[in-house]
Amino acid sequence: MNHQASIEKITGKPIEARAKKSIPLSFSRVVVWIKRNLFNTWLDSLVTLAIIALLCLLLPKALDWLFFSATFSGTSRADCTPGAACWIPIRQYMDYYIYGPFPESEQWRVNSAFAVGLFAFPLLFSQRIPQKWIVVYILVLPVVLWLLLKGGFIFEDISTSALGGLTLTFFLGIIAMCLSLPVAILLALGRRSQLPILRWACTGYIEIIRSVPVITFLFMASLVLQLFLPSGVSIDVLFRVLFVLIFVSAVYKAEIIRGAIQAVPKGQIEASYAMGCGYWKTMAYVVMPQALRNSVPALITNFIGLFKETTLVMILGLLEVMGAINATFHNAEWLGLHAEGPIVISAFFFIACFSIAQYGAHLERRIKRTKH
Amino acid sequence: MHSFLYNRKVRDTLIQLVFFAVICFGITYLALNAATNMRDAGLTSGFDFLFQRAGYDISYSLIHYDPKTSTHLMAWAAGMVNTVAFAVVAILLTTVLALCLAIMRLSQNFLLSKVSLCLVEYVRNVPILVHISVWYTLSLMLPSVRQAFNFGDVSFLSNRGLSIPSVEWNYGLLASLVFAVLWIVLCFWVKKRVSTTGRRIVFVLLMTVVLVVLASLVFTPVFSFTSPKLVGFNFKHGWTLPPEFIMLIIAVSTYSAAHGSEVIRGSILAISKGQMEAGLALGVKHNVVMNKVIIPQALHSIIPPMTSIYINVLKAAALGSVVGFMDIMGTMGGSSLNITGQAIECIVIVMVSYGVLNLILAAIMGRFNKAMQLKGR
Repeated sequence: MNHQASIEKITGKPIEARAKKSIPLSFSRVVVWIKRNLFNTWLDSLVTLAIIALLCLLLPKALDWLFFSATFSGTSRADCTPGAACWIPIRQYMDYYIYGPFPESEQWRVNSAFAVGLFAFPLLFSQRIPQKWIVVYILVLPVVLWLLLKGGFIFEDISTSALGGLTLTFFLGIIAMCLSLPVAILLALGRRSQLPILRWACTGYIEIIRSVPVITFLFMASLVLQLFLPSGVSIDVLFRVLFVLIFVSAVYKAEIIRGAIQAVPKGQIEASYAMGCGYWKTMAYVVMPQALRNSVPALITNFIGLFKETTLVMILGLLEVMGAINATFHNAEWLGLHAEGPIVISAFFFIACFSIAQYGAHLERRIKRTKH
Repeated sequence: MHSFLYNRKVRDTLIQLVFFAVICFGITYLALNAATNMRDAGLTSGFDFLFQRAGYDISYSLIHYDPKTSTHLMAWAAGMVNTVAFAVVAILLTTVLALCLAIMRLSQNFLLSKVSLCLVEYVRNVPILVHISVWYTLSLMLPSVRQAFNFGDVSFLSNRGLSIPSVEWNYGLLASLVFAVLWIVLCFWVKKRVSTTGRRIVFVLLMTVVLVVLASLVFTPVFSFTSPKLVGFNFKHGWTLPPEFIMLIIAVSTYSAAHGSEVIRGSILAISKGQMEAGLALGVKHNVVMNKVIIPQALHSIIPPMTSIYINVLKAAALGSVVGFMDIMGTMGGSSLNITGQAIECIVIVMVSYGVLNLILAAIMGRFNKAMQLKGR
């Protein structure tokens, strides 16, 4: 006697009946769906027809411009078809967009850095991996990226001007994210601290930084910072930008984490104190594990914002991916191709940010599921 | 000694003292460095430079600014007015667009909902700098003044910008005062007579229109409009908004509207489904249930996150420096700083200005939020 039959014996009905029966797709069901979702009222029908007309008018033209009439292979401007997209420069400079002016013999370092970064997805995704590993990963990631991309210790040192394109975007985004997390946790704890001076300082810092645009701090870092350093000391522009990104985005993360800390029931903290744990033990073993887990979706949204914000360093002359793409279209040969550059940049950011956002939404659903 | 250090109060005080000392030390160190560097560069600190001649041009300013005679203080004021004008227009546009996108997204029409989804997901996943540069490139493709887009002979769109009719207030000081007093009396009368808050606003608006029409008919017209006219190579009369200003507003408001529409949609969806079903079961129409039951409840959870979106809009004015629109960051934090070299003062002024603007915006939204909260009975 097999397993299913034994269940049938207990429940008294076949096991399929408990599953939701799927109704077979039929023509009449399709008609009902269309009637309900597209032509419900006369206004609905009008809107539907207008959208279909617009799509019929624009979509073929857009597809033709983007793909069918577009030029993909060739070497110079003369090969481009007029009146259609010209993807030759994109193909020609693809390596430059990804690696920037990174020395060619060392490009395996960039590739391995990307691989290490992508490792974050399975790590956050899997529920079996203990949280300790994730913490270790977040702590180790900036160090590894630094060694791979910037060099030092065992690797050859790469000059700041050799960092560019996607490599620079990736470098700034990931390192700023990882290093701003501990700062954000300290700020959040400081803002909720019982010690008045600590609390006032953290609140003041958070509120001041939040009310001023990031671009102000970036300009400050490029123009004003020199004034506060002893003469003769100068900091590389890359480090200044990184510093600004870390200390500005930490403020927004601090507010997210503070919200999550407040959501932890007060009774748990009191219980922990009653068991004889001190402040740091309570925070590290009771509050933070819950608060951080619940703030992961919001932190991912914040990371998307930070990733998009890295384009601002272009204003200071650092050629991250947007700057690199723009630079090729300022080249005399490709001058006048207005649309291709923005399309490629938008497509890149859309794919990257949209997939991270979907991933964040998935994590949020999972957290909600485990709560109830 | 051991127990003394482990006393809670003593330890707390010690920690705070050490923290305070470290902060003080850091600030003093930076200040000393700055003082030495400024002495070496031959600069003196202080706010005297505000009254010196600025000597740089501001491409677009709503108040009178003359690069030859105006001071740095005037440049700051011009930047401030630009920021506020930008923020007001962009916030209004953001709200309207966000509402439209959210309504489209929640529509029962499958296609309309998916169109809104695509627009929102595209716009919010692409950096704002890309949006600004795309719109700026588009603005370069606008036709010249002679071939300007003509909107019914009252406003024109060309590569010089959007020309709209100007509005002038025709009454003198005394007449304006009488008008204002009449208006305030009217408001009080409405407040006394009409009990519902929502209807009061409608009544005040209606009465204002009646007052304006009556005054215009009996005496001289209250407002006069002058539409722009093409004279030679440019538009005379009317107001002209430069392309960079318009494009920055469009870029920033579409970007924040995409974020805002998600907030609005989330809040509306969070209202329990049973409320809509109960309304429909009572025989009330779908849109009436939406307006009278769902949206009033959704409004309280919309306002706090919308406030932070509005604050982001305000801060986005600083991105205008990329396309040549000068706000406080462009005038005081950019040109003035470079010309005078008074870095610390300029940065302090910029930060305080942004801080004050933020506080004002947050205070307005806080008041609005209070008015919208459910009144417990």
